[in-house]
Amino acid sequence: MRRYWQLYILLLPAVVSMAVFHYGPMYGIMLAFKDYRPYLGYLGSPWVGFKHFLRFFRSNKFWPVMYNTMFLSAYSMIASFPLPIVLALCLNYIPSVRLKKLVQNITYAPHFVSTVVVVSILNVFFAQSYGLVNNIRESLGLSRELYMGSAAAFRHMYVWSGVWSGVGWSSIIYFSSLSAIDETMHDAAKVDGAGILQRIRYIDLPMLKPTILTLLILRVGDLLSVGFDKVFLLQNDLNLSASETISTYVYSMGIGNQQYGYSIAVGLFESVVNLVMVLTVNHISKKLGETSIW
Amino acid sequence: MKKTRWNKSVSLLLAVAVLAMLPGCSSGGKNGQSTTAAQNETTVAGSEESSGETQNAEEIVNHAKREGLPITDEEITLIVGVNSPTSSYQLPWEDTNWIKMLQEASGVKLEFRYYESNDSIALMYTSRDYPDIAIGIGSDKQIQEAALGGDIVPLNDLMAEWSPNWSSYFAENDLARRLVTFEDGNIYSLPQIAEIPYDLNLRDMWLINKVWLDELGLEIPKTTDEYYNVLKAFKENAGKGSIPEDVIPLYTRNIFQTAGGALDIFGTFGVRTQGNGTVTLSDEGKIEYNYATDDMIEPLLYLRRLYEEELIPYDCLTCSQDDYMMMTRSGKVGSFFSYANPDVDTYIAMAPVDSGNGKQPLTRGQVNWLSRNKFTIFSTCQYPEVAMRLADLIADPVWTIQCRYGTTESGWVTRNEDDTFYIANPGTDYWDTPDVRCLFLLTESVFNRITLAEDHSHAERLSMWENVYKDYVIPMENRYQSILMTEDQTLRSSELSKDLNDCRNTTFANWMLNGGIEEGWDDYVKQMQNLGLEEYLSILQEAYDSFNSK
Repeated sequence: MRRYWQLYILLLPAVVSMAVFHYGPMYGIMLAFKDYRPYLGYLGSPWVGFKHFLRFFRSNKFWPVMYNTMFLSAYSMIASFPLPIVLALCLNYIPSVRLKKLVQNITYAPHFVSTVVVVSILNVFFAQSYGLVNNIRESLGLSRELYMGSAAAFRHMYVWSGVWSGVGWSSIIYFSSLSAIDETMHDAAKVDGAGILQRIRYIDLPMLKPTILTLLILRVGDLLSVGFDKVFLLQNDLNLSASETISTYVYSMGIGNQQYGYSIAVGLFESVVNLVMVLTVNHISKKLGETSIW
Repeated sequence: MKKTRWNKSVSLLLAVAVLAMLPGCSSGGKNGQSTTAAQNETTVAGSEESSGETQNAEEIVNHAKREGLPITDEEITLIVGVNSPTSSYQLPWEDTNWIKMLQEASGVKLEFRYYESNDSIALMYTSRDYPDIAIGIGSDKQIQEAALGGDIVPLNDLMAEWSPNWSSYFAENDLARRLVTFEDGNIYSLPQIAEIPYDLNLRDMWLINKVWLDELGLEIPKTTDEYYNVLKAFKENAGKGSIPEDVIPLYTRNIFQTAGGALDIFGTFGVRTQGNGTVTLSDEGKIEYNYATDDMIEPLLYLRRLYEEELIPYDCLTCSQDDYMMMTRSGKVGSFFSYANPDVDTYIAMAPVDSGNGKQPLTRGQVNWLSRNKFTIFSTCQYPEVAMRLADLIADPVWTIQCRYGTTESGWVTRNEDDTFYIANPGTDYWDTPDVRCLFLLTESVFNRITLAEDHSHAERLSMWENVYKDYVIPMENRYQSILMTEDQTLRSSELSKDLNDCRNTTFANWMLNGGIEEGWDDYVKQMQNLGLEEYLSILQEAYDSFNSK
């Protein structure tokens, strides 16, 4: 301890912030098991056991909502997880520094576009009567489609617009890991006559593996958390069968009616499922002798 | 640990504050209750004129004078919790002329505390850090719970003693009294009363493009068939005259949207509709849900035909508020439903059309004559009597009219000697009042004191109400009032209504897109029953029955 005091001091802000902002508010979880009444306070409100959880599990929408959330999340993960790696690898092999910088900047830019704007852009592209995609379809002699009102199209729009906004940003971490790879390995491989694909396969990917696995484990831990805004903004009567997720349902049932206990119960349920997922994937990864978080 | 100790000290403080207030209330009650109650009947409208007549006039209770203005001679400041302005035409409260005039007349200094969002309001109620009074802050549930905790002053006695305007209003309007009375029989918040005929009855006007009708030599349609033919003619004559190439004959905002939805199409076939497709009341006073009865099939088929023949674009099923605003103001639309007429030179309001099924065509109704929870006094307030007199002053016709339509300082409002008002067109000026954000007591008789200038934006609605829609809007007795329910009723019914409305909206939208109404109808009805339609109606009925026996 005494020997490494500088390091402990460096660690201190992070520990304090975790304690204050993450562990501190955790006592609020007990409201998931209470009928919270402001005038009775946190401790004084009556215990109701699993009432809020049961209300959620027994609601007509429980299974559709779980299915939609998992489906959307899984699809999103499958589509958006590998692409940043591919992008980082491609960028890594661009010889021109200026081109590399340009491509990086262009791919990062969508990350800074707010969700509301992304949804408006989707509208402009996919609207039936004036959308760009339908204009192109018409000029090719195809019929105009109501993409905004299609449950299947909703999933694709949600996922691929997410890929568009996130791919550049997520590639940063891989890109930085790649630039940390010792150049001498590449030089040696080149001398042995390895092509680009072989270098990717035998040098870059093995070096990236710990990063990839760590991020994958963390990503799996978000399986039940589908962002609220974009789903809510894209939601309409016609795509409801695919677009009602846990977060939008809780919004209309819990927060709208000031059902704090209910909202917290669903949030807790989400977190528990996520935790179980992280532990499982981490365990599997460990068993296979690969990277694990702890 | 820390939290609980803090909570304890707050509740201790509150208890002390409540105790400190009690003697003030009760002593006031003993001294002057009978006399003021007797006077209430005579001094409803003009409390100013009768000051000095009573022996108790000079009596002051907790800094509040019984009669006359100013309300208090002391330096009293009330902290008022209010919503932040939500649209660009609204000024901050303290900048409005009306508030300045109110402070001057009442002698009470008002300090505003703004609550930006529902979150900050929720935080106020959960942390129990209250202002003295609140105007329009808090939901039924929040107020009910705060009242249970003793944080909100029950207004019944206070009102009887200090507010002739409100107490006589509630004495005469039992429906209003029952609508604001909470489970325990107390009134914890005053409402905003707006018995404005064109607002209280009429939701959307059915607008049609008069210019195009004239160009095509067509009359305003009187039947559903004629309406269909007119839309068809708009489509067929695209590109001719002033009809654009990409004409949209009819534009609606989804089906079940409050603003701009297609509900009036159902109404025109004689189906009772209200708001965004809520329940209504049958002639026998029973709760009815008209969207799963066979009467719906005919209007649905009609609407589907409009979609199928592209007289309504499918985009309408998914469009947002922004799309609706943009399209209806683009000059491409032949007909739409709208609260206001954005272009009086082009569009004209038409009555619902006859469907030929033998039923009287109806226009959708709404119930917004009474908005609950517009004024609460918190137990932390040191001067509840002063606050109550302030609410009474606002309920005075002269103040109420100026609050809703603009003050005499504004330049467009003229107050005549008999306290009637002429309201000219305010144009694009900022409204110089808190307007609908505030409580007021605008009864029908008060509204009758107002003359709206012909070019006032509300004048068209008023004249359309009187000349076109008066005979068509579903009667008040058939409209479901938003009543206070018990917590269990609220929870269960909101859950059921979400399931039912989602199912209904999705099914109807799918039918508009793909057809299959007649084949799918029985399945839909069965599905609605499985989702608990019966239970939903019985909960509402139970709540309504107990409301009626209040």
